Amino acid sequence: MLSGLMNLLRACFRPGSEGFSRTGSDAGGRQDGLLWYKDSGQHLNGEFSMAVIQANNLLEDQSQIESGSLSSNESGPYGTFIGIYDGHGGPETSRFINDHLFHHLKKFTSEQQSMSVDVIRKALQATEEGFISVVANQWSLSPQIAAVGSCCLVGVICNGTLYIANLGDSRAVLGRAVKATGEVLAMQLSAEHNASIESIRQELHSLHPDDPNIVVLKHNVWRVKGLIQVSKSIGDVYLKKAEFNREPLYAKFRLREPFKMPILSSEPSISVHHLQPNDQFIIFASDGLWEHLSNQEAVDIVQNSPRSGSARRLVKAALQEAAKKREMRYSDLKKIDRGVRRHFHDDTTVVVVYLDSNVVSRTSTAKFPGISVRGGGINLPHNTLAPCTTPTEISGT
Amino acid sequence: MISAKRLIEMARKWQKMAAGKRKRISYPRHHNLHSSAPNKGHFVVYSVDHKRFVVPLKYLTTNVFKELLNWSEEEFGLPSNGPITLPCDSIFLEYVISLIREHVPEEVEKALITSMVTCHHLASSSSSSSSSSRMIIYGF
Repeated sequence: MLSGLMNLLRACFRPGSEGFSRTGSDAGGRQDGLLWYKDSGQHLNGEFSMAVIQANNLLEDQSQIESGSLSSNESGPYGTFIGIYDGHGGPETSRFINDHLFHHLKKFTSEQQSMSVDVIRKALQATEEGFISVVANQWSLSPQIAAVGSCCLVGVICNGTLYIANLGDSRAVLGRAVKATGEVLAMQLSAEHNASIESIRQELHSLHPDDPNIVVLKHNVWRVKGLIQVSKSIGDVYLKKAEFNREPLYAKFRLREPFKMPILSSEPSISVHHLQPNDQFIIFASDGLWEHLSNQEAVDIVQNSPRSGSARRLVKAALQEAAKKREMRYSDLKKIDRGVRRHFHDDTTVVVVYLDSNVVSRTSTAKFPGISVRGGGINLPHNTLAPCTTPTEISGT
Repeated sequence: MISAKRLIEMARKWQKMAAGKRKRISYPRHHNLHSSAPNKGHFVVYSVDHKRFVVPLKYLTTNVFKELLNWSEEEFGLPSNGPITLPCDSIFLEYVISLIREHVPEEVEKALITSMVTCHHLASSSSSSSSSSRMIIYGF
């Protein structure tokens, strides 16, 4: 009760010193060098905090938070949608997901008039099919698009239920308070599909019994066909459809033997969780974060720091760890340009979603203006030699 | 264009260093001697023979280092849990660093990258080569 009141007060009296407009539904984030952040915003069920650090020349991580109506018509159901899309081989697939997945989800929610596992599965499938047709259309002009893909982590909070869908190795972690001790424990909500996990390798072997080289240890890292660490993704069409695994695709992506069955899967792992009053927050992040922080370390950082800027704090903690591993100073790591920066850490996206009220009354839902924010970054086209931008306002939608 | 005289000079210097008798010219330190705080304004790379190099941050903007890093990614992948190892031996790396320190002209830098790429392909194509023979190729 009291904490709910405090949150309300906090929401009303937030300091305006952060230097950017926070009113309206389109309040974007800030870009500061390679860091993009939105320290605090309001979703239907509480606050959120978001941060992205870029390492690649073109940001491959894409992300979004959408709160309000989850269907094409404004009659609801209402809730919050979070997406983390960690691209590989280029930014095309993750951008495509960012542009299409939520629209598909709204369309299927309208058709079925409710949120469900089936709606999420269909939205992901439609997105995958959409991207495959993009590859088919562009194949003759830019065949390398067949070797671009993306992990895809989705969270939907709707009517006290949390749906988590995942393909790849991004991760959602819940911070749940233990009443007796007051501790906040980390609970991983998403299943992961990385060949570094033994059960994933076993699964791949059982799906491809005739191929002893379905997973190969390369540079001390397990890779599917020696090429890719994840076993599920959106895109990566060259490992799903044999007709795109041929010249003029680069030789390093071409398999020696033609395949009949898709090597990578586009079937998401989806789980349903009923939110409890002691569920405090959920951390959604790409593997750039989890490479450096354990689930409990991340939950502790969020629990022990102010809400505003918690995502940025997680990103900083991960970069400090990355600097330590590379035997250099954090302050120096931050000076390295995008592109070269990829040798020191990965693109990293973090969204922290606080769960202040799992049950929202109809009146407050109707008053909520809706919000749509996308994680930013510097995305100059190829061959552009413009200098890095100074901190500027960028639109969040 | 780079003069023939300069090229010959480069090649001599290179051969001399490859002989391995030359006194260390750069900052290599041994693997386990770096307990102190990292140097400000520097980053760290290791050579394949486990020598540690503390290199000024601005060297990351040179094409030679960018090429070496890409080459390292191809050879060893991106290390998730430790420092960067460049796929060349300490003698070669010392030479690279000394060239950058002396602000060699762009042509020399290009020649160096070309020779690196050639050696890289030589080494990659000879799949049976042992790590010691690779080191000889990298180091000339």
